[in-house]
Amino acid sequence: MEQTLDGNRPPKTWLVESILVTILCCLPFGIAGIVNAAKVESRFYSGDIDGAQRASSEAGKWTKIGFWLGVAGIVLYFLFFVIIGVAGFAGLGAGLFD
Amino acid sequence: LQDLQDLEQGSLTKKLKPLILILLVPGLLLLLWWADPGTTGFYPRCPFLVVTGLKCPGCGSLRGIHHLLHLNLGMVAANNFLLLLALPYLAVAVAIEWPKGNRPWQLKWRKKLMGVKAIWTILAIVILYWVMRNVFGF
Repeated sequence: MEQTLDGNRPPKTWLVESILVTILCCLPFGIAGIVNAAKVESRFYSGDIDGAQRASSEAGKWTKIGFWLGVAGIVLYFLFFVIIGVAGFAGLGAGLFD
Repeated sequence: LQDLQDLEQGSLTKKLKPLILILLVPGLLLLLWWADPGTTGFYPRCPFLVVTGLKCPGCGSLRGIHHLLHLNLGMVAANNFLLLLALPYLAVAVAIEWPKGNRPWQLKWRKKLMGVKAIWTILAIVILYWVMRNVFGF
């Protein structure tokens, strides 16, 4: 089995992305990504190519969910300030014409 | 979760994704360079810290990036040591993974630095850092 694996790379582990998600945003999703990255490696080198593929898409799924939750969080956070700002401005304007 | 994945496959989001990244990433880096999260109350706080009062392994990474952008590595380490540890590793990992194909040096080094043992080590470091920073308060 090792011979057929020699010279090939395991499927994408999402390791770099998972670590970034862990440190910069969403710890639980990042860790789920890292654990699945380990599964990709161990399954691939023990000959379970299908299992490695499955772990790879799991790792990708959790990493992407974490990443987009982070992006959504940032966008909502800034949107919140914009709304507060606009509301404040409108309130000020309304006050002028009382 | 299925809904989230379906959403991702939508054509509108597919077009929006690169746009979001192109606008958001440099914008955030500029903001982080300009305004120090350590001295301005403008940035969001870590939800885990707010809820539990404990630091997560990512707490301080915004402040860390601010100091990194000012090339002040000592302050990066002081705010989030994990970030300082992770950056060179991630750079090496990307350099190994990026070139397409399966050159022998790539396979050798990715197995050494990004193999099962390495990944479990990384997870152990993250969890150890998590515990230690709450016990010793750094």
